[in-house]
Parts: sequence; C-alpha cells; structure tokens
Amino acid sequence: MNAPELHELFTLPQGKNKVEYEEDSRIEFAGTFTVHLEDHTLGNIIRMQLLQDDRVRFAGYKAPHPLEQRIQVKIQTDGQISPHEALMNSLESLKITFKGLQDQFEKQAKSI
Amino acid sequence: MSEVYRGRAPNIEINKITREKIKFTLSGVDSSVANSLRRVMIAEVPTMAIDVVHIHTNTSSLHDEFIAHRLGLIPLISENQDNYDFPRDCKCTGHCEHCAVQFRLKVKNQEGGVLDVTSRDLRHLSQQGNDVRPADSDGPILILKLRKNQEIDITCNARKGIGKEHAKWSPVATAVFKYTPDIYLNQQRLESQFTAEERKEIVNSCPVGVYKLNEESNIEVVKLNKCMFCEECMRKGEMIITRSASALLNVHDNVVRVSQLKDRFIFKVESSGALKPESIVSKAFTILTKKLDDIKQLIPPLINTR
Ligand code: SF4
Ligand SMILES: [Zn+2]
Repeated sequence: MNAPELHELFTLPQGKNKVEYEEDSRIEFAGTFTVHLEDHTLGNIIRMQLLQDDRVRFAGYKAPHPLEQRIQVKIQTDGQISPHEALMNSLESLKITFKGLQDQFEKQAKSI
Repeated sequence: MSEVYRGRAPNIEINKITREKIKFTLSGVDSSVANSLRRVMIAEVPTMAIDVVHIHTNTSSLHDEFIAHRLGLIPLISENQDNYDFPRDCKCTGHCEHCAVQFRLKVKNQEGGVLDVTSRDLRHLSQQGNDVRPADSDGPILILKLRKNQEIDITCNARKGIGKEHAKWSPVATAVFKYTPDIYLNQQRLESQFTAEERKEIVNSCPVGVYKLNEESNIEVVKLNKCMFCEECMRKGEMIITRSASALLNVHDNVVRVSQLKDRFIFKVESSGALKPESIVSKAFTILTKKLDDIKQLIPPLINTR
C-alpha cells in the first residue's frame, strides 16, 4: 500500500541536485554532502577512503532512512584542504583502485 | 582500521573460472571495497528480463500473474545489453527495438496427455534481438504444463533493468566473499603432548575436511580455503588439553588456532546464466568507476555556493 514508488530509485526528487553541500555552522572546515540516489555501496567506500587521509579529522556517512534514496557524508578537515578537496581526492583514489583492479582482472580473464 | 592494508597495493587474482562460476581473491583493500563490489554485482549490473506480459489466451491451470512471474524469472542471455537502453531512458513511448525484445509464447495441447511448455517455446517476434534468448543450454526451463485442449497465447517484452528494481534482473545466483583463513598449528606440542589417536580426533572434528593425517600421523592442512571459521578444531584441541594431565600449563596457548586475514577476500560468484561470470565482475568495476566519476564531476560547482 505505502511502498515507495519504483521510479524513486532512479529519478531525483523534485528540485534536488544529485550532490548537495551544507557547511557546518559551528565547526570550521566541516560540512555535509548529501548524495541522492546512492546507498551504502558508495557511502562506505568513500568514508573508508577519507579516513586514509591524514588531513581529514572526521569522516562519516549515514543512510538516513532505508526508504529514502540518499546518503550523507560528513567531513571535517584540519584546514589544509577543504572538505570538497578531501572528497574529490578520495573519489579519485577509489577510481584509480577500481580501474587498476579491473585492468588486472581483465588481463587475467583473457589469458585463462 | 585502515592501517590493515595501508601501503599494500590492491590486487586481484582469478583462482578458477567455469562457464557459470568464478572464484577470485581480492587483496590489499579493506572490506568496504570488497563489499561494494559484491553489492554492485548483485544489484546494479544490468541484464535483460521479461517485464511486460500480455496474455491473450490462458486456459491452463495456472493463473495469469503466476505465469507472468515465471516468465520474468527466466534468465535471458544479456551479453549484448549495452546495445539496449533502459526503458526509462528511451525516447519512445511504450517500446521499440532500442529498449525491448519481443517474444511470443503460443502453445496448445492437441494430442492429449501432459504437454510441457518450456523456455524453448518462446519465439522472437522479429529478427531483431535474436542475441537475447533464454539461457537454457543446460536444458529447457519448464514454465507450465498443459492438458488436452488447454492453450496459452502470450506476447511479452524483455527489457533491461537492474537487480535493485527486481531480483529477476540480478545477474548472479550467489555473490559472496569471506576472509582468507589462517591456520596455525603448534606442531611441536601436537607431537609431544598429543597421541596419534588425539591428533586424529582433531582432524575428524573439522566438518569440511580441512585437515589430513600424513604418513607420520601428523596433522596437515590440505584444503585451507574450505575453512568456514566454525572453530570446531580449536575447541577439540582445547578439550583434549583440558582432559589431559598438562591441563594447568599453557591453557591460553592453543595448539590449533584459526584466524582471519582481514585484507584478503575470497570471492565466489555464480552466474544466473544471463552473463558470463567474468563479465559480471568486470561490468561491476565499470559501474563503480562510473558512479564515482559522476559524483566527482558535480563537486567543483559546489565549492563557492553558500
Ligand atoms: S575452523 Fe572449522 S572449518 Fe575451519 S579448520 Fe577448524 S574445524 Fe575446519
Ligand atoms: Zn524504446
């Protein structure tokens, strides 16, 4: 009866952008990114990758509600870089990791 | 948490590929990476599956919804899914050759007895889309049975989708990973404090046959990757120590110790038949990379907005 509509899995909610940022009003160099239409798949790898960065003081993510298709990633840095840069860096490293793994995998799959 | 794999290069190694299964080891990453790979393989690698069913005639003993559901669950070979659009992205209204492959299932039992209607009775409505067909090379997939004079006539559309929307689009039957087992045997104590009989007890305590007694009747690990961390062997070892005279000595130092290497993951992926197992894994990587890239593109414009 009150199941969420299927299209909510694929279409952005009215008036929302895929990625939104809200600066923290009390803490310096901190803010929350909201990523729509993503779930733990990305949330968890992004958080773990952010924690690898020494300039990141805090990184955490949550999926606020299981029926709402969004995650929130909270980042606080030490001021050497902005939360935006920290997130960009982590996305880039993850991309390199996955690309590298894919290349290795495909090379082996071909030779078997 | 992260220093587990810091400084180690991510690595992947294929252990075994068959027509429907793949086993590989992923190492030098933490469990978040392994888990997203698993999640993407299950829920986000697209395949084709029957999605819209028109029932013209159905005098069989199964009701319409039941048959529609069964048709949806038939795996369709989807190696060429890149040639199709998701119906929601297609410009057409309804369906067209870019977003759907049409089938017809028209069978009547005229001979009497019981007639099996299988995936082999599904016919393409047009030449186009012949590459998308039931994955039934291991034998026809039974859909329903007809008695004399019963008849069905159905047209249906196969469309592209992902497992997140409905499990029929998931390309995998299983996609699981576990940590790599690490077994430590204190051979010296096993030899000096245990009898051959007791060593045999330890070997037999393992429900999956990880151990074997060798010619000198010493314990040997033969099928390490079979281990499922049930710790039966550890408990057996402790029990034997406890009941023997040396109970008070060394109780904290197990003779058998099973632990998990938390940066090495053993994956097992079984295909539903829609995609080759190696395509599932490599498509999952492509999808993950694209997701990350899409988000990355959207961050710079956010930098100066307040
Ligand atoms: S933990 Fe269980 S499965 Fe693993 S070796 Fe011991 S008894 Fe066998
Ligand atoms: Zn179309």
